[in-house]
Amino acid sequence: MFLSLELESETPLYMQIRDQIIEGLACGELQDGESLPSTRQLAMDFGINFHTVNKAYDMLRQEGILRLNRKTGAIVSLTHADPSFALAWTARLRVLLAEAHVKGMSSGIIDHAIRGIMASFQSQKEGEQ
Amino acid sequence: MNPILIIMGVITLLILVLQWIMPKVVEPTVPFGVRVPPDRLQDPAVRKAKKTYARGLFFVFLICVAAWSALWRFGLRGTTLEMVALMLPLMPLFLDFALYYTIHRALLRTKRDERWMDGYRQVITVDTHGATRRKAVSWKWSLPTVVLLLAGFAAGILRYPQIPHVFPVHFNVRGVANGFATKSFMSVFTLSFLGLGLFILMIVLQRATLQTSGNLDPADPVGSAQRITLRMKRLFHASWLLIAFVNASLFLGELSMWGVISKAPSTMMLTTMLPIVAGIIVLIFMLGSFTRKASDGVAQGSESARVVRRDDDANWVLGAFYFNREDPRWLVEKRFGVGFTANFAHPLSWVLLGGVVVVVVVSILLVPHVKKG
Repeated sequence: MFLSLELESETPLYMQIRDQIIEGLACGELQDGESLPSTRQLAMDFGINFHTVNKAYDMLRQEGILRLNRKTGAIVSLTHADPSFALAWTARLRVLLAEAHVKGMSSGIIDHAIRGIMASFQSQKEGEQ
Repeated sequence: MNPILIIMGVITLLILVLQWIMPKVVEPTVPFGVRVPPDRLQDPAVRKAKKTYARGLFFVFLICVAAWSALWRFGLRGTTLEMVALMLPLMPLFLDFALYYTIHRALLRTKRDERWMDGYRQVITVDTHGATRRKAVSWKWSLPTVVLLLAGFAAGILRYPQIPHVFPVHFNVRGVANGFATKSFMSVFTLSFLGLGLFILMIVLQRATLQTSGNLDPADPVGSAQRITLRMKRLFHASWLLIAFVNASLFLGELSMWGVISKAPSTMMLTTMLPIVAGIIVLIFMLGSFTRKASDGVAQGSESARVVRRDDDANWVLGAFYFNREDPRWLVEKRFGVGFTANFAHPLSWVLLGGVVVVVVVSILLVPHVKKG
């Protein structure tokens, strides 16, 4: 899969890497068990500091998405959501929905957007297979 | 007519030809070391830059011709002529850089004043499967070099008993020995070791460059990944061919040192200099074929896309020297040229540069015959 970094963006670089890997997984561009380049290699490809990639990978490891190994590098290894994840996720979703609500987006539009995004995950996943 | 003058003239001419095709060989979105968005490729400023470069290079050519004919007319002799003639290929190198830098500065100014990058999202795109690109490079092309190195060592071992206690290591243009060495394992195999050193250096560089994948075009990641793979392949094949020619030249030099082949002036020049010139011709040929391939790729894709490769002009000092503290790579692809250059913000670059200087100085001190066999 392709990863893109926007150096001038307000989102920190490690966050951009992390977000894209998760989106890649949702879309099926990246599969469970697949390996990712090592921290060193990815940093060299981007031409950015090792620590930035390390931070992204470490975050993904803590989230139960990546398994890091000195020998085999980084491997996608998905673990299912535990109750604490659901709680934290709901809290974040609340902020996102609050933003939309404050800006006057109707629940119909929000609902439509959510369905559209979920459907795109589904269809792209099928397309990959 | 002096053969050295002819050979140096040919080499100078070849350098000029390479410089002539350079703007067509480099990444089209980086004309003269300035990263421009795709919709500016046909901008009058870019066209003007190309014209100025072609015109300037023609002047450089005229200056070189004048210098060469002056050397020929004034009939310098012996070592003075040799020294001056060997300097000749440096002329197009320096003049071309001055020309390039002038154009680079002007284009950079236009880009800034006219705000070319406004409205573009600048990203760095990479392929997480870049490893497949590394596998695409075949080592087959190093075979001629390996064969020549082995042949050199084998011939040396077979010939060793017959080599006199004091043997010639340097010949003048007439093929008369004017430098001698006492026979020892090191002195007999100097050129073989030099070739072996080159071979190892090439392997180290190839391994290092395979680690650095060029950044992809975010508007056309698949196409640009393919183009990069192709470019790498051609580059490695061409450099292995060149190394093979250099090794062939060293091998022939050895054979004349050991008295295996004749030392008549004409054979001397042919055996030692022709492989090098042939190597350069091969390089030009390879570059020519990759020019066409490169330009094929640009036309499609990346029109109208508002996502472009990141503007990295600021990382290139004088438009030619890469300096980026954030970048962990110590080798990066050249900005204006074919091949790789060092990241001067990386300590390893300085270590290696020091190493190269040491090697050059040592070989100048220890093996003064290398240039002329």
